[in-house]
Amino acid sequence: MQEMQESKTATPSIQLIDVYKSFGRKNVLHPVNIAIKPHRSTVIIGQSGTGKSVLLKLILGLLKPDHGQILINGLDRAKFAAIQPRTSKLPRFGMLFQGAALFDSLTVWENVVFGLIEGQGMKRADAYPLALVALAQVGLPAEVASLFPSELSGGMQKRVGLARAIATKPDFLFFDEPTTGLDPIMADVINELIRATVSKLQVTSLSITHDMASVRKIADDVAMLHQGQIIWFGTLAEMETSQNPYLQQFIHGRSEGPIQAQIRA
Amino acid sequence: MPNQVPAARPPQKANFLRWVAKNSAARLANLGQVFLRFLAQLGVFALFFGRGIYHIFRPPFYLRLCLRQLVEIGFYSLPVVGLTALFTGMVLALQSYTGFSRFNAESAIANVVALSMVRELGPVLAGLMVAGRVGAAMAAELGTMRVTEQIDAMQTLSTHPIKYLVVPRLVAGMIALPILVLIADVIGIMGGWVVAVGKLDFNSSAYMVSTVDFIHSDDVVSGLVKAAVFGLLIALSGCYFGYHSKRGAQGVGQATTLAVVMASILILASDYVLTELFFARH
Repeated sequence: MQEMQESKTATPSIQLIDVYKSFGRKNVLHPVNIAIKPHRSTVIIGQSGTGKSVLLKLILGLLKPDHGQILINGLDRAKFAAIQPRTSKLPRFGMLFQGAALFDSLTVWENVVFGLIEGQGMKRADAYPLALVALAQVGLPAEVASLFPSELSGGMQKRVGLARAIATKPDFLFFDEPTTGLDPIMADVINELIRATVSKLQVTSLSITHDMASVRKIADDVAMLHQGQIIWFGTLAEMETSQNPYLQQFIHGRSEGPIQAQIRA
Repeated sequence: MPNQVPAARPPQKANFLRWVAKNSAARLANLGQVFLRFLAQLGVFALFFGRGIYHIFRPPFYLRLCLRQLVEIGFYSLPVVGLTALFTGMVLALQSYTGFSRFNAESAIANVVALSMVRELGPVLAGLMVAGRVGAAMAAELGTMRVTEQIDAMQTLSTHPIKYLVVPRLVAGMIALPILVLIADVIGIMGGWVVAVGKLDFNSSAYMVSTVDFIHSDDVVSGLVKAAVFGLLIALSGCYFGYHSKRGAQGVGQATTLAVVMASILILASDYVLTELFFARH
């Protein structure tokens, strides 16, 4: 409880102020305002095509906002390039992509320590033991290290993706639809793993998903994105009791309500 | 009596002129939009090229990846380039013989085969074959990496995708093509020799001596310079369309097609420009 009080008053780790983003004539975010608290797991929910992935890519620097400011630990994201050198003041990010996004021409261990070898210039011989440690952290045995991603199941690929995300010891962890395409049991395994990793590494995490089981498992805070705006923000407990009709329709998966099913992306 | 549809009245002159003006303006606007889009694409292509060249000279350098691409582009293209050169040399000898025999100039066959292969057919045909094989593969590989978010993942891991993916291909293309062309030149000339000696009863040593005496170093060097430029253009085209591939299988397929088409056009267009530069004053 005291921890929650502290985090409520703490400076936000990530803050988006009046962020707009459009692609051609399509306004995706207009505008987004959100403050992510440090050392907490925040989950953004919303329909497909509401701009959740765009939001993550803006924070990562893979996309640039048309207008507005993104602050990372108080630093203006716009002043830093997407690819940051080791010496950068900007905190380090780790990201688990929707389809894991493993490099299919590299083995599992090379994937896991890719950021250390290619991004930080570590020698391959020094990086190999670290790859095994990261794999062990996500519950994968050393035998997996020499396999190629195509030889792994979807769930295993997600685990390797998570191992890759934590291998560089990031300050922030991002998860893009971490349980999409997985069976319920494997989805629960990944959710447990995310929860355990975030707690153990004491990182600030931001996930996007529309899997409510996943939300209930990994979230401390929940934000709902609808039509390019954050329309609700609160704790997981507050989400369950909220009277917001949009939120209620979404979390209970009802077809009737203020949210209409989208035809176009 | 059934209802008859009244015949459409011809538009009055003023209306007709207004209709023509309105449609012409719309078509002109469409044409203008297409042209502007083309210019924008050209600008993005030029910027991509500039970024690629800039990063060739900026560390970190991925030598291991350059070597891997060198094997991929050079070594694995050898069979297809070799076969193309062999048959081209053979056909060239045969065609030259049937043409030149009409005015008793058969003795020039060795010279024609050698000069055509070294200056023109070696670089251009090798370039086109490599564009089909390697340019398509590059676009498909990078396109798949784009749509499966592997390129985004690379950026989150502090690795520059232009340096890691594009630069090694550009460097390998520029090095591999001249080597391939040199081999293609030799194989093509040998193809001509096989036909000339085996089928047309030419004297073997006279054919070889005639070939060696006739070719100047300028001829070989110009062919190799062309090859280096073609190698760069093939890699550039494959990387550009793959890197900017749109979502889905259709996007990757489109990128692959565009890469091969663009590389082929660039090869033929730059071939003319380079030929003009090398030989127009002679």
